[in-house]
Amino acid sequence: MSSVSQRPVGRRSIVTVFYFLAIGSGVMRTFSVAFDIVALNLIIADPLAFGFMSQWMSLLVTISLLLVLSIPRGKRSPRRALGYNLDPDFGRVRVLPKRPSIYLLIAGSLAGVSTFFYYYLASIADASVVLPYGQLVIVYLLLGDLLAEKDTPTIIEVQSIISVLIGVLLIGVMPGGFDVPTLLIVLIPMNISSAFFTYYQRKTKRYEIEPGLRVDSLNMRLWSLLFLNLSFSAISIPLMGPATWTTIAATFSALVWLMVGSSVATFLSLVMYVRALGRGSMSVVNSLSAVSVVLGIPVTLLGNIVLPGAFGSITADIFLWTLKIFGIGLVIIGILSLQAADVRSLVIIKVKPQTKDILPALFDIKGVEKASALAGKYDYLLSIKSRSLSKTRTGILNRIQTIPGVESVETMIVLKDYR
Amino acid sequence: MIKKIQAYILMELELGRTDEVVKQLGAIEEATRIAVTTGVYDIVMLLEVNDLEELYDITVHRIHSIPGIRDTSTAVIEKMIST
Repeated sequence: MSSVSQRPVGRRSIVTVFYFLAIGSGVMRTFSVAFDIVALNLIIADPLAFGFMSQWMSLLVTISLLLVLSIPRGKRSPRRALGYNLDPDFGRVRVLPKRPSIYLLIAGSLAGVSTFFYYYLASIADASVVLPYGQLVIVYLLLGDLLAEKDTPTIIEVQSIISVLIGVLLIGVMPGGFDVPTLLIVLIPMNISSAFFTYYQRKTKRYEIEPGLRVDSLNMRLWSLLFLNLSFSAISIPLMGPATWTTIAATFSALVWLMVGSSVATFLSLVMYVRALGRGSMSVVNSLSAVSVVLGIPVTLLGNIVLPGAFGSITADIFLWTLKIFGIGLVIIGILSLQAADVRSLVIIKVKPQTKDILPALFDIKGVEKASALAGKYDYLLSIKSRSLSKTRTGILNRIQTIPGVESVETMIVLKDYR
Repeated sequence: MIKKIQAYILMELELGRTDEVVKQLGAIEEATRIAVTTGVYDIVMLLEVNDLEELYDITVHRIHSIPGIRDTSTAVIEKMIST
């Protein structure tokens, strides 16, 4: 076993793992939202009271889950914690180093803001309007990726992301059109804070505690949830009157299992989301997990058969359903075309004698994920990610050839990758 | 303890044996990445080891004994930059 990364090479290809994580996170989010909606429709009418209870309950559930997942298992040494299966970087519950803790403090406080607006909107508008519009955060993330130098989205990515976005909006259509104040609240405070939340989560996940060992998503969930709850409570407690506290006391026991269910689903969803962020760009991960909006439809339909009324009302308007179906088509096409376009390649380079060190110049080329200087037959090896072969050629290989001193370049296209 | 040396092993395979070779390479615990590629080489593998002795052991005793590998070329990494 390699002790740099604390783990041997994985059994599944990295592309499979990435899409599994990003889409899986969306599936889990569907379940957690379903639990919340059932609770709000059947048991408790005050979203803020419910939000307060369920957030702190979530922290309790997360702490107990993490304690269980820290138990070492297996006979061979070193024994790995149970949580290793969820994230191979996980060892045990721990306090994180200073830098990632600061990132998480920022991420958590911002998530508290967007959570507060989520519950606030749920109290003044229909929750099902809020959810799809929340996905508009993808636009901000796309801009963020455009600004982050190493990860420029390609035209195919932009196209797929826009397709997912429009699809998500169509799925969320409601009779009566847009509710402008709601949309503004979603677009400005809620989505901007969740965009920054995503940015800092990604930064944290990519922070290396020691070479090769990154921050694990399980501890990240624990700490960012703690910070989230603190900032969420700081905003909402002033708004909670005595009536709210009585509601909390009266409904707590009826809600416990729904809240536990929701917390476990959210936990899994965020662990997968963060791990996916560790591997891909922000907008792609969010587009893939937007599958939760599509899944919301069958869950609502099936749920209403089991518990009538618990999952919100369903429109009977044929035109709206047509739009929703267009939306589903767009989301699925967007996701599939993203997945179809992912080209990785390895490039081995030989240089002429007496060439100075060109490693930094190679690493500066956009799309180069990893650059190594070698001892042996070849001088450098690059690991490249791009969305198409022609982009690999024009954008990357041509730039390598213009570096003075490069004698020969061999390109190998990766068919399958295990990590 | 952190392993200090990383190396790429570039391999040429015999036709039609890629899957079984990948499976056997995956069993090597020092491997951190295995890529099946087109082009001059068929498989590129990244290893993490403590010292050159260990690298020798893995290449000579583990990798060279896998049937289906025709030729290997080892490149020790002197410096690596990654995102």
